Formats: sequence, structure tokens, C-alpha cells
Amino acid sequence: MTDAEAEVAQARDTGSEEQLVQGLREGDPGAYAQLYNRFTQRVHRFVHWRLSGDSQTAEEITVHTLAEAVRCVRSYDARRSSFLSWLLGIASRQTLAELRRRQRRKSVPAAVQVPLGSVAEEALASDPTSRLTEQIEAQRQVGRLRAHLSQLEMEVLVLQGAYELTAREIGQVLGKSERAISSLLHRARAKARERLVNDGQDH
Amino acid sequence: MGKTIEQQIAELVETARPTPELPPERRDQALAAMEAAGRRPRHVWIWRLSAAAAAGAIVVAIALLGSPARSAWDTVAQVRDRALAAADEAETVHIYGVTPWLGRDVPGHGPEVVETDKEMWADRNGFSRMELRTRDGGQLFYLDLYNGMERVSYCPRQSSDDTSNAHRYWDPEEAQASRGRMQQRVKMQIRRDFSLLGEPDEYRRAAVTHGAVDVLEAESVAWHEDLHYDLHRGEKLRLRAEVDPQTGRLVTLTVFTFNAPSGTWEVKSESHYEWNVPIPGELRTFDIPKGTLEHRYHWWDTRADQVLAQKQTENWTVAVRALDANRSGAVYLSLSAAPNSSTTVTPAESSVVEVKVDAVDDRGVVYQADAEYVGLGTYLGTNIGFPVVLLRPAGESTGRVLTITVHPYMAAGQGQDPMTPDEPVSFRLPLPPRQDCDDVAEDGVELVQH
Repeated sequence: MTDAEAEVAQARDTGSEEQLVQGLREGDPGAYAQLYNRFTQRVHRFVHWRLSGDSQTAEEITVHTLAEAVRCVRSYDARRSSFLSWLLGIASRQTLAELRRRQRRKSVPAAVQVPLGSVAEEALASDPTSRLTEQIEAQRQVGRLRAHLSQLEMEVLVLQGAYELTAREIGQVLGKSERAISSLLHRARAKARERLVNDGQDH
Repeated sequence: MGKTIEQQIAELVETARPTPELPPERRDQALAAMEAAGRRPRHVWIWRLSAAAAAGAIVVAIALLGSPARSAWDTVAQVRDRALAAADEAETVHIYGVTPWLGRDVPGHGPEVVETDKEMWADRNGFSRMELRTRDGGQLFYLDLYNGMERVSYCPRQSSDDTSNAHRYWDPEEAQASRGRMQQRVKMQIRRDFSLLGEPDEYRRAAVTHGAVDVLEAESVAWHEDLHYDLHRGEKLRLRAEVDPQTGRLVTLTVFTFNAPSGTWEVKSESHYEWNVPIPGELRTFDIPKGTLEHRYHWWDTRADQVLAQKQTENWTVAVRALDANRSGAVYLSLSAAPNSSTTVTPAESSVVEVKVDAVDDRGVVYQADAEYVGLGTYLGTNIGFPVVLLRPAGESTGRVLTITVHPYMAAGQGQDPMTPDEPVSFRLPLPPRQDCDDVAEDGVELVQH
């Protein structure tokens, strides 16, 4: 489901977030479907990105995040965070646990051991010209950004850019204080801007 | 309207590695998982017990005890629930007694679980203090205090080649949620002790005696291993709760295990509860003793509230909030720069405040800022925060003093040319000791030797 489709689904599921939470607490199957329609794509995108494209595991963690949200929905407090940032917080912890498990295993999951050729095939299948070039260029730029910015700095920028979360909400997702995130954002923006400007000058 | 830097990066990341759509079967899987999670009882372990074991336990219980009165079982649940509800209404609580603890944390003991003395004070405004002492000699070996702004835990040295450690977490945001913390902690303890036996309708025996205090006794077998209590699955357990008949509040809660060789019940944990008693003022603070190595977490947040040095120009007030250095000697400068109320500068609506910083130490080593300029936020909004400027030495620095020059200015937009005159402000400050980490701001741990 694309973001636009997610918006349509969200419009279709017209209930408020409060009603959704109430429905989840009461075990209403309609609320489960609504939760899926409204939030799955955004959770999945977040997890997929944090797992560097391990699609299989990202799908599993997304499903697990939704189930965990239902299980813990009684602890959700709308005064403390938006539902999305609460959900992303669960996803973040699940992802972190997976990354730690991987560190212990010290091996690359099979799902991310994708030969470069298949990436090209996939891209070419959908768009024979521009998409592959665009993707490879974006990968280069992201690679340079990653070399320049820390993982945390990248995360706060993406969370703000992709999800329009406030510093407070990002803090809730990543388990840090609002002020620490504000400070990080300042630094990350400056470093990213400098990197992107340099990239522009290199071309 | 142009995209923000965050939006550009989010798009780049998505373009670099597009998120595939979830396959349709994942929807079914997710809905099934959500339904299962919604159905799941609070005690997950129930599902883990096999049907045969449950049936067997019922048969054995009936054979041994006959059919126990349903009312006694109900009363156990009622006592527990009433005690939990009563905890919700209390203003303060003082708990003391005996608790098992892993011996490796207790001075003079091996890894085996040992009995220790515990004492806890808490109020409903978020304050809590817990102390653990050895039973033989009353030596403090763990303290945990939360005062609504920060949490301190203290572990004194246990041997001559050991170090006393304290861990301090600066967590003012938690204060907003700390009302009710006492209730949570106390209820957690009560639930924990009751849950050792499993669910009331699985107790092997339960009885209540009414008197000056109502006494509830219930027996069961441990349904899971518990490292903290040194319990093994299947071990016989007994719980005895003394309850104030007027309020329903717990007076004492004792957990026993059965020592098979001697055929006696032994106290595993004992808690005495005093409700709504005043908390002595001296218990609300804790001075970290000399010789302790303190680990400060989230300490970065305290930077905005302190001032190392401050200077004014015609238009600006610049304050250095903190100087920190990482293991390679790069300096993290926390500062603020605010326009004076008497400023002659006329800002536009979109004006932003930014600073440029350069620095040199007393050995002539130049420090370069890792960004050409650092933004503090929009001028007309309230979003003028304090930034952190990372200054990297151009060579190996052995200097002791750093001269920092800050150029605050206003610009029409982010990264645009200054629209105010250059008013440099210089500070001469001692270089800070190096922290044992790469990124001081991010790692957020500071070591302080008391």
C-alpha cells in the first residue's frame, strides 16, 4: 500500500484515534483491521529502513509490532505521545532486539544477501531507464551521508522528514529526552546540509 | 515551497532502498496475531501449562483436599484485588522486611541467593527510596532513590580491590509521569508475591481467618523457575497475608517455601507495610559518598541550565553552557546566543539566528567547527534552542586552555548571509578532561570521581 493509498484507507476508517484505541482495548476485530489499514505501511517503512532492507524480517517485525501494540494497548497514554510515535517506539524496540540478536549471531541474514544483479533486474523490470540510475545514485548519497552522520543522527532526520514527528515524539520513539533530540537535530541538520551541498558541488 | 533537509533525506533513503509492499498474506497473519494478542490473558503462562498437567493438578487437589469451598478461593482473589485497590489510594508507604537477593551483589557472599534486609519509602508524588542491607551486620549494599527529577542508584564497594559506584539518571520528563509511581511499584510487589502461587483457583489450599487482622493463607506449587526467589518449578509454596479488615490494606505479606528434608516451612520473603506515615526529610536526598565513581546518564540535558561563561555585545548575549571532550580530544561546545531586548536589529518574519565558531588552544592548535554555521532556530518564534558545536583539533592537542570565538548573527533564512554586523565574542576556558567515548553528546555518559 502506498502512502496515498494509506491516506485513502485512513479516510475510509473514519474513526478517531481515541476510538481506535478504545476498540483495540475492547478487542474489537474492526479496530484490528483499522489499525492495520492506517498504520502498517508507516511501521513497515520504518522497520524496513532500520533493518537496511531485510524485507522478510521487516515484515515479521511489522506483524509482531501490531500484535504487541494490541497486547500493550492498555498502557498507551494519549497525553504522553501520539499513537504513531507510540507504535514506532514498539517497532523501534523490536528492531533493536533483532539487531542485537544479529550482532550475537555475527552473520548477515540470508534475506539481505541479495546479489547486486537481482537489484538491477528488479529495478529494470519496473522501469528500464531512470529508476535504476536514480536508485543507485540515492544509495551513493545515502552511503556518503551515513559516513558523515551517526546512525542516531540519520534516524532523527528520517523520523522527522518521513513522519513529521516532533522532537518530543522522536524522543519517545528512540527513548531519549526531547532536549537531547533537539540538540541532535541541530547537529544532524547542519552536518547533512553540509554533506548534501558538497555532494552538489562534486557533480 | 522547498523541501526541508529532513524531507530530502527521508526521500533519499526511500529511493535508495524502496520499501516493498507487504504481501497480502501478511495482512491475514497480522490480523490473526492481533486477535490472538487481544484474547491473550494477563497471565500468559496459563497457556504454557499443558492440559494434562492442569487436569492432573485438579485431580490431585481434589483427591488430597476434597473439593475446597469456592468462597475461600474467591476470598484470595478478593484480598489481592482489595490490597491493590487500597495501594492506589495511599499517600505514602513504608515497607520493610526480608527479601532474597542474588549473592553476587551482596558483600561477603558467593553467587547463591541470600536473605537480605530491605526498606522502602515512597509517596504518591513520585518519590521513592529503597535500601538493601546485609542481614549480618546491616551493611548497605544497594540504594535506589528517585526524587522526581533524577534517579540515583548507589552500590558501595564490596571488597578492598573494588570501587563504589553510583549511577545518576537525569530524567525530569519522567517526573511528569511519576505520579502514581509509588502505586505501580507497590502494586508490582504485591502482584509479584501473589503471582508466585499462580492463579487463586489453582491453589491447593486457601483459608481466611477473621480477627484483629484478617489472615489469609494459601498454598500452591511454584509454576515457574524464579531466579530472584531461588524457586524451582514444582516447589511447594505458601503465602500468608495479614490484612487490615477496615481498609483492606496489607499489613504483612510473607512467602514461605517448604524445606522437604526438615519438613518445615521457611520464610523466603517478608514485607511489613505501613501506610500514610510521614517520610523523614533526610531520606529524600542522598549525597554520593567520597571515593565513589559516579556514572551520569542523560547528563547532557543539564547543559542548558548551567552557565560556564557569559558575555554581551550591543545586540547579543552569548553564554557558554558546557565544554566537553571526547577520547580523541574533539570538543563539544554547548552554547546559547540570544538577541538582547535592546537590539537595533530589525528581523524579518523568517529570520533565523545562527552562529559561526572558531577556536585555538594555548599551544596554537586550531580547532575547526564541523559545520560552517550552526542554527539556533527562528527568531520570532520561541524556538531558539541551544546548539552543540563540535570543534575538532587540526593536530594533536596538548593545550590546557581553549580560546573560543563565537560570531552570532541573524540571517534571512537558514544558511544565508548574515544580515547583522559581525560582533565576535571570545571566551578563554580550560580544556575539559577527555571522556571515554567517541561522541560525548550521543553516548551521554559522564564519569565523575567523588
